[in-house]
Amino acid sequence: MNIQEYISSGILELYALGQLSPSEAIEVETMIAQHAEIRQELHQINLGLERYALANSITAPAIIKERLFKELPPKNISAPAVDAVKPNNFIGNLVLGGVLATALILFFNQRTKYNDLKAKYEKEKVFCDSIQNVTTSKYQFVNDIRKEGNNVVKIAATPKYANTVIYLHTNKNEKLNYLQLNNLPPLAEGQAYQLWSLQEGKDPVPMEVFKDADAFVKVGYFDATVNYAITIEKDGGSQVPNLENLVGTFKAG
Amino acid sequence: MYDAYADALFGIIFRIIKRREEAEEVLQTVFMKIWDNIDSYTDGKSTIFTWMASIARNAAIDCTRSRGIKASKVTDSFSISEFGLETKQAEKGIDINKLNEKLPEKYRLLIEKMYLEGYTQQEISDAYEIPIGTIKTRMREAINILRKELQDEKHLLYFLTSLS
Repeated sequence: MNIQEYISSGILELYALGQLSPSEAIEVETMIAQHAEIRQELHQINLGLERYALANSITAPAIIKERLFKELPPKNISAPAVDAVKPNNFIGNLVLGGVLATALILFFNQRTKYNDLKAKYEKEKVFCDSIQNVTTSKYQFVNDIRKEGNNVVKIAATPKYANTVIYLHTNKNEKLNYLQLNNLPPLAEGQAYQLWSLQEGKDPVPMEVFKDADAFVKVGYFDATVNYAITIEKDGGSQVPNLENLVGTFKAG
Repeated sequence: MYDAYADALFGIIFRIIKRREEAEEVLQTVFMKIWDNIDSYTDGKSTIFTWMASIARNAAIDCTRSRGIKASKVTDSFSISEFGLETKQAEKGIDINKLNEKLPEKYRLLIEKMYLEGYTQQEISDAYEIPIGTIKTRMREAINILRKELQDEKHLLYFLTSLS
């Protein structure tokens, strides 16, 4: 159906005037429900009629208003007041719910932040502790090598590892040994450096195993040591040195 | 709501009943019905005034039937002043005389008889010997004129507001 033709037919005006039969009115109401344009047109018709009725107003006697307000059912008057409590409670519950929800969100948000910060703190603490340990050990190293009787012995590298630079800081008085690792040969997977104590008439005594290539390493001290040796062994060390991987030796004391 | 619409509804009721005492009773009854049935008002079908006017018109027609009030002829002329009543157009800011000037007689007659006095299109057709189709067409024209006047008032109001 053409909407404009329907509007122009005048049926909406008759509907607004209450001049249609019940079945015709239902048809119009169906059209109103289906088409916004028809709904809008009917609204404008009603406004036009309303304007005409207002223009033709007749002053109603004031007594009617007085009588009317006296006769209005009390229960209907109080009804809005009772109903008004419900929206207030509803709004109150809504506000309370909102506050609780916000509090929960803030709580979980803050707890998450707290946990994140705590984890970060633990991580930083481990890092700081490690730095402190390194600093302490270096400080200890510096103090020890400044003590009287300290000797510094450079490694006598084998031709195979000729570029190796390692210093042995040894002090007979304090019975202290430090290895200052400046330049070591690279390790293959599963290998480590191992220190040996070579003593008169005895098999090589296995000592510290380490993998750091640039550090200070405090190692053991044996009075009977004639020479110290460094070899490359399997990771974890050996009981018998692999002389094919002899990096070099130090003369003790 | 009473202050806004009571006079307009009384205008419709009185024009149908044409008796002051009964019209006042019906006006009170109409507002009681409005009070009791406001929940049944459907926004999409009509404006609130159209809904109230429909209640008022039906209540007034029922009154004339139940009280055995002799129906006046469709063609009878009608004057408010005869009953010691007055129109309220000045307070509403609407000049009925100016509005009537805009409405040609053939249109004004139809809208008065059908909308304010509650006659059916068939009764008007019979009384004035106007075909139903013509009544429908003229009624649309009449309402279009009212709508146009309403638009002009809105524009004037907007113009005056913009000056202030």
